[in-house]
Amino acid sequence: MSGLKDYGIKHLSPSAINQYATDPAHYVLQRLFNAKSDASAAMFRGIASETGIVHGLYHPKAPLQECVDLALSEYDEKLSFSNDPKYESERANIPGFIEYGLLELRQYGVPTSAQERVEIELPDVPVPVIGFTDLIYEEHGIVIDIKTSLRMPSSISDEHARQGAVYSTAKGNHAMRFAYCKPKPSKGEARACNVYEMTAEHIAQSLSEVREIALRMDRFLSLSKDKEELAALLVPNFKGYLWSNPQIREAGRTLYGF
Amino acid sequence: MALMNDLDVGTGSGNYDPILKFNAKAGRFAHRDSDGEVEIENPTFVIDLYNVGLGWAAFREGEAPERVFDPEPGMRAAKTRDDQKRCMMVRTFATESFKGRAELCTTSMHMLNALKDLYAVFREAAEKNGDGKLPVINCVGVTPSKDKYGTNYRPEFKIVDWVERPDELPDEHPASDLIGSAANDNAAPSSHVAAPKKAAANGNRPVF
Repeated sequence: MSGLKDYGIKHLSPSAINQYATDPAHYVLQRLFNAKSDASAAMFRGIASETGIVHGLYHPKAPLQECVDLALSEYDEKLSFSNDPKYESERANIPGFIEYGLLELRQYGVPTSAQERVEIELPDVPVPVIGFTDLIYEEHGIVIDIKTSLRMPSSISDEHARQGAVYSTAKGNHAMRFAYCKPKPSKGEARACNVYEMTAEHIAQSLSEVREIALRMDRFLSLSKDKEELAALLVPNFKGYLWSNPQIREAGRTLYGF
Repeated sequence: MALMNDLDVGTGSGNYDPILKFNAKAGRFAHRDSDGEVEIENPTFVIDLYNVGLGWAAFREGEAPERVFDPEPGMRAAKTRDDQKRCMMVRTFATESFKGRAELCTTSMHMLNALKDLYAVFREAAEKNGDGKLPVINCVGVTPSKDKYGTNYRPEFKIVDWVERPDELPDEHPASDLIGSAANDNAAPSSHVAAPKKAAANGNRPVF
């Protein structure tokens, strides 16, 4: 008996695992009740910036503007019907993310692969965990995930670490690095892209967390085959960042009744 | 950055902007710059609620405030001093009540609660309008509140207009130089690792 399989969930992902760990009510709303929301400018700023960076890595002689134009074109297309008030300000950051991301990552050379699907099995977890790596450098034995943010974090977050643990394990224990890119350097600094590497201990601990969360998800979903009954057990935390989208918040209030 | 759900500051820069301050004990606003401090009655000003800094601050008489701001919404910064309280910082702009830009940074529970309620109203309107305009607010009065610390006053704000973003209020975090590291007892700060010394040869066959 597997709750995940009862609900037709064929695989998990780091984002689903993190979502459940952060707010099970949000997970149930989106994954079981299929609540949808319009794309946000922040989300596509990251995706478009990665497109520009990856293009620049695969074409080392491509001018920066070419990479930026590609990214902006993707951003504009994906958000052509967006009403997000941050559309312009997020767009304005994209060139900086690409510039400073390439400044750092071109030092690694041309990647072996990008957006490679990876999969791992975890003991007692009835479905595999899959993911898509941003960059793999087989020559260096390194996986790199690109993160764009307006602020530079001082360490790898728990959520990113779980993602990294899956990637690193799937790639036969490659080193796992995160490239955190800002749109511009802070005062007195030349670099706006910091690359942090997970230690072996951090990977092991994070992988253990991934497994434990997945097992708890399975147990929770096995409590009932009625998703309404599962929802009735949960309390959403509307103050959390997962609920920042107004459409999702509205759907949450409708489902959870408060 | 997406609008936050609310201004949940919680319980517990090299920026030399003039200051807009609120004295909760007296129930009065004041504007302070290099020329001194002037009391203002029921000010009206533009407030940039799209860019709100939440964090920790300690104010001591005669000293520059010691502040650190959360790196991301929902992720608290680590305190840099034990006596810091939760704070909110935002940029304001006026042409009548005071001249130019002023920083509003407060740990006052009464001001924080007033701004929290204002933010809820602002957020709903901003998402509905979707035009990125900034609210112009007026302090219409103050409401007394008695507690164990005596009588304090809470400002009452009303949105009276919406304006295009003034040049004096760039669309950025009000104190990006004061962003702190996440308060995470389990995560030691990470150090940047340099790229491998020998880059991959161009003979690599990309899979894309």
